[in-house]
Amino acid sequence: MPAAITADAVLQLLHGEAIVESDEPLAADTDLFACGLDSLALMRLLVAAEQAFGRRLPPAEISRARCATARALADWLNAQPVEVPAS
Amino acid sequence: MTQADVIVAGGGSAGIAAALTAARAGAHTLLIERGNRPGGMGSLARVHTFCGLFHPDVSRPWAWLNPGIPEEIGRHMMERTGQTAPDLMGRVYVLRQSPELFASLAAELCARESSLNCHHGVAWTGLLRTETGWELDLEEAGKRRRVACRALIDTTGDATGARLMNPAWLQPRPARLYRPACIASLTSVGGRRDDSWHLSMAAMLAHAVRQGELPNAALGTAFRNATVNAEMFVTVDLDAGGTAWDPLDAQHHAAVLQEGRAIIQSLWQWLRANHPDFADCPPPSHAEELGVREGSCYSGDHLLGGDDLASCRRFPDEVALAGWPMEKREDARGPKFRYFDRPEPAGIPAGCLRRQDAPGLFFAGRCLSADHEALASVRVMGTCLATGQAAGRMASAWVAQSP
Ligand SMILES: Cc1cc2nc3c(=O)[nH]c(=O)nc-3n(C[C@H](O)[C@H](O)[C@H](O)COP(=O)(O)OP(=O)(O)OC[C@H]3O[C@@H](n4cnc5c(N)ncnc54)[C@H](O)[C@@H]3O)c2cc1C
Repeated sequence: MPAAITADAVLQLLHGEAIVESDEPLAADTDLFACGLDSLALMRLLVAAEQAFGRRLPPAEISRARCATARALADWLNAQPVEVPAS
Repeated sequence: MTQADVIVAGGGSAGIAAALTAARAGAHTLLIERGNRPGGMGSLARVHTFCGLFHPDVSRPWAWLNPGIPEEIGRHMMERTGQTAPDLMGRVYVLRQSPELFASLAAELCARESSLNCHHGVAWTGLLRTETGWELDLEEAGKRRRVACRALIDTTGDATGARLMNPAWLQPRPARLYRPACIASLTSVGGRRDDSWHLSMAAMLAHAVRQGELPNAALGTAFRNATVNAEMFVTVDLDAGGTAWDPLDAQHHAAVLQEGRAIIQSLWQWLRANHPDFADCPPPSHAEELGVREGSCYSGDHLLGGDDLASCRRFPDEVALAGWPMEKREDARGPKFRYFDRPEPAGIPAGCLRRQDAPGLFFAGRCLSADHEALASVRVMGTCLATGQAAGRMASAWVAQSP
């Protein structure tokens, strides 16, 4: 069993890649769309998350709810089989 | 030599508004445009939404921000495209516009003014100062001629006048210009393109880039609905060499345009093969011009700053209002917004459109006197229409006053 991806790890990725900018610190349940997550930022987030966590997010499954917060993204990532070793 | 009261150089949003305003005030006006039709970025580069036309308070019903030409053009566009209200996108109102209709509407409005002459396919290549005003060298199909005027309005987007006459009138170049982009229209697109459509498109493109089916640059793609149902616009933001990007370097410019078109072409092929809504989509119709967000700007009597806008600062001598947030597109991270502190407009003072040591010269649109951050707001077409109108008023008043 691979270790579960935590909301904190997703937050770290969001910060590290500067996906969204926010005046207040991002929390696991902060609404990312309200912090300016648009389609350009979302594409970069998906690519970065797949790369960092070694999971593949099926495009057909995407929904606003699945990307709205770091926690939701972590849950969605955890529901995918590990595909390649995480980088 | 042709003699005009006012010459407006550059027929984009700002130039159209300036020329109509000066002509309506009674000045004999000449509009010079390099392209084969008016509209600038809003027609030649296919920028397809009018931003900055509306009051920034979206908790209230939408309202026009600047009366006069911006409202007139906005109303015509709504009427001709069958829109009854702007779209509310997050914290802003925007109006979808058709680049073809914008060009034809501008040409029609200009043709109605008896004291306005429009020359397309003419490039402004030289500038001289005379005792009574200005002389411009023009080039048309390899032929040179000279025209004279008392007041000159530079709406070329690149501060051409300053570059031709006195580079000291230019603002220093920022470390990094906003990124250019390439736009194309796609027709016969199926499906209902709502919020979840855009989400799933983003996911599909991200996936395809990860699989190596699309180039990395495809991550700069954004889709927008056109004013016609089955039509969409695709915009690809380009890195263009990052800090080395120079829109005034003709070779670099052409190479970036070519690169952008190639990305759109591969995107179209991929969409046709992989997305059912694009199964019947004919090849993209590319804009003829690259979308340039920032060229060079004048340094005027007042330099509008990002803090002026954010604090909704007002000026006793303001000539137009800005209401669009500062939308900064510097790198692959996509736009970063700096909103005004309150949902209220900010003023643009007359000093942003002129310099004391260049009497009779005015500038408007995306080359007015604003710093890099403020430009991210005032460069939008609604605001360009407003500053162009203001420059038209200032120039015609200048002509009326001077002996
Ligand atoms: C990719 C992209 C997306 C954008 N998105 C939006 C948006 O959604 N909404 C919005 O409102 N704005 C948007 N903008 C900004 C907006 O389109 C421009 O800033 C605006 O059109 C500038 O208007 P302007 O009249 O100052 O200059 P332009 O529209 O650039 O017009 C300048 C004109 O001068 C002519 N010219 C230049 N040099 C010469 C010369 N030497 N001789 C003769 N003619 C000359 C050019 O051919 C051109 O027609 C976007 C811009 C880009 C690039």
